[in-house]
Amino acid sequence: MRPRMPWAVSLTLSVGVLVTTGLGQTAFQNSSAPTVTSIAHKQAPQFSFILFWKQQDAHTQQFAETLQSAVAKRSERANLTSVDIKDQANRAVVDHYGVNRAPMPLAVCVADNGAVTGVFTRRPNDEAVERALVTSAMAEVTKALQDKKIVVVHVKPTAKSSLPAGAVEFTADPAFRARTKIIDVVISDPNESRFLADMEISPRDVNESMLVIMAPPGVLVGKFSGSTTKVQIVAQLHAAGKCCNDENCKHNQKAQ
Amino acid sequence: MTPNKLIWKELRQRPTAMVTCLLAITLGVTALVAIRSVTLYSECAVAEQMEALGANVLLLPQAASLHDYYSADAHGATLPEEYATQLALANLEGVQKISPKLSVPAELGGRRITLTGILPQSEFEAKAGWQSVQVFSKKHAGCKKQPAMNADARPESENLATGRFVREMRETEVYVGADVAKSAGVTSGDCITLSGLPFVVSGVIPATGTADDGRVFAHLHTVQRLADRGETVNVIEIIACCEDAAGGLVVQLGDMFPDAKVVTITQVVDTQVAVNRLMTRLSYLFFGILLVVGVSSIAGTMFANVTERRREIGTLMALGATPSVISRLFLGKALIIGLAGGLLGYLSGTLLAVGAGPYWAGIAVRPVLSLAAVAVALAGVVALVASYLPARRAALIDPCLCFREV
Repeated sequence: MRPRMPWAVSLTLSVGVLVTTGLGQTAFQNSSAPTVTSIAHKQAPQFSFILFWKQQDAHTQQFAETLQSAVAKRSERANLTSVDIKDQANRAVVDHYGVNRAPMPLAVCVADNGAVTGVFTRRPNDEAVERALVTSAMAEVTKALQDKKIVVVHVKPTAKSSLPAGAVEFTADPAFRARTKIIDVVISDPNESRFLADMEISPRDVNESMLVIMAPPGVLVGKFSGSTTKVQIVAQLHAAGKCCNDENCKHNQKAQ
Repeated sequence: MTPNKLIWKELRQRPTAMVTCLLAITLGVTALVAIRSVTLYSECAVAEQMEALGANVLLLPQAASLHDYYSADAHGATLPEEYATQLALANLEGVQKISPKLSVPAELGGRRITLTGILPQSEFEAKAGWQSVQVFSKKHAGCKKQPAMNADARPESENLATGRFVREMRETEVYVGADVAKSAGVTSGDCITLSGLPFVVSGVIPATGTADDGRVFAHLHTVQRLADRGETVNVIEIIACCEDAAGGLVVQLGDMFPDAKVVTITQVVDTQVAVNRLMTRLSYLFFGILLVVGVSSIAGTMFANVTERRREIGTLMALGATPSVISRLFLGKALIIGLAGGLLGYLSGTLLAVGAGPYWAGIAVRPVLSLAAVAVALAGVVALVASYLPARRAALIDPCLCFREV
């Protein structure tokens, strides 16, 4: 019988759930209207760390122990599952994440909505593990981006604030309607303080609705005021990520 | 008898001297035109490469040597394929596309071809998506990936020709290079057999003028299985978003993969530019040597000609020919030889460049018309300069002395 490492627990039902969740989310891609997710009062997401491994060597052992220790400190929010990629029984999960030819060991952090919120190819430190445990809004945004959707985050001063006209027009445009996801975040929501801080949005400065637009695979298109028109949003979207032509890019010669 | 008739008669009566002078000039101009033609086209090819691949970086095995960007995978050394995934997961700034390649020899219809395994970009897109979460923490400093909003509508064969990648590829399909398609008579939709496995030709790649024209592209994992090469690749081509970012990537890649060699297109091109510069200097050196030989040959022949024709020169002068008419006779003869030598040299140099260019420099060379004017004008001037002193000597001959010799 093959010796097992202490951390190499067998696959649990959770992996099956993760795979199913991930696959299930792709169904949204075919819908014709933008989906709206309201984050207010949503419970903090749960996370599963999946450790993929191939060899039971010292490097894998250290990697697993470090990860296990970091996850154990956050057991109320996260759990750890290990997957031997050579085991045919794990074929479905390995194929789902496409890691059969990835450098091993490899760990991914998956939120309960199927979004991959962290990838670790080197021994994960405590800080990196903590950063992978994102807020509900961040998990929703990440999932939408991984589903190749444009994300319009509506940061609103109150729960009742309506989507600005420019964003309504943008999401109604046939060119963007089917692949846009709107995520509502109330500025005063304490659960989303990290998200707002990362986006450099201060609750004190927001008196009216604000839009943060992101495009796949992970491009911050920009932050817009509530009065921004659809034309301005589309123009910014097309200009985004044009690398050195972007005036924010350090390689842009004209900007220097 | 007019001076022109005298010149033509003189050329016909002294064919050996004329051929010697003509040969000297022709050889010099041939060398100049051939080397300059190849160099000019090589410079154009380098400029095109820089335009198309300016921001590309190659990750090669340490043992690999690189002379031509397009043949970067034409060596036996390998890297682990997992390096490509590691790169995708690292989400380095400025990396737009990752294209690992493995090339093996194969046969198609009895002809030897290069079968190149490539991975479609879709294999890396999911991994790149895993880094979406970094959108929250990484502030805009360097190059960002372009938003993946519109699926590229171009055919995959064109993606391969111009962008050196494919978006999607099944394990049973192939894309065929222009030269292979032509020689094997293969078109899109055909079924072919490679190493005993059937494949469907999904497209013929438009001619690129590079080694890619002689390749058949298949899915990397299929090629690995066919060649029994395991999970390895010969090269990982990284398409960076701009040249500046590509430069910055070199350091990061060097740290990530210490057992691999990182080469930028600029480094490859620098080598080619150095070779071009050497060839240009060599062409001037050849021309200089042959110029000296040609000038000496023409001057010597002309001096001998003047000595031989002393009596005829004296007779012409006694009949009323002025010294300038005598000078014009010799200079006219030299000019005809020079112009003919320049033209012949241009033609032979161009033929040599067109025929040997693909072997010398691996590029297709076409006639450079502007060199024709340069070659003819230069040869004419050289012939005139070489004949100046003999013509002057002929013009100063005293007819009385000539008759006294008779």
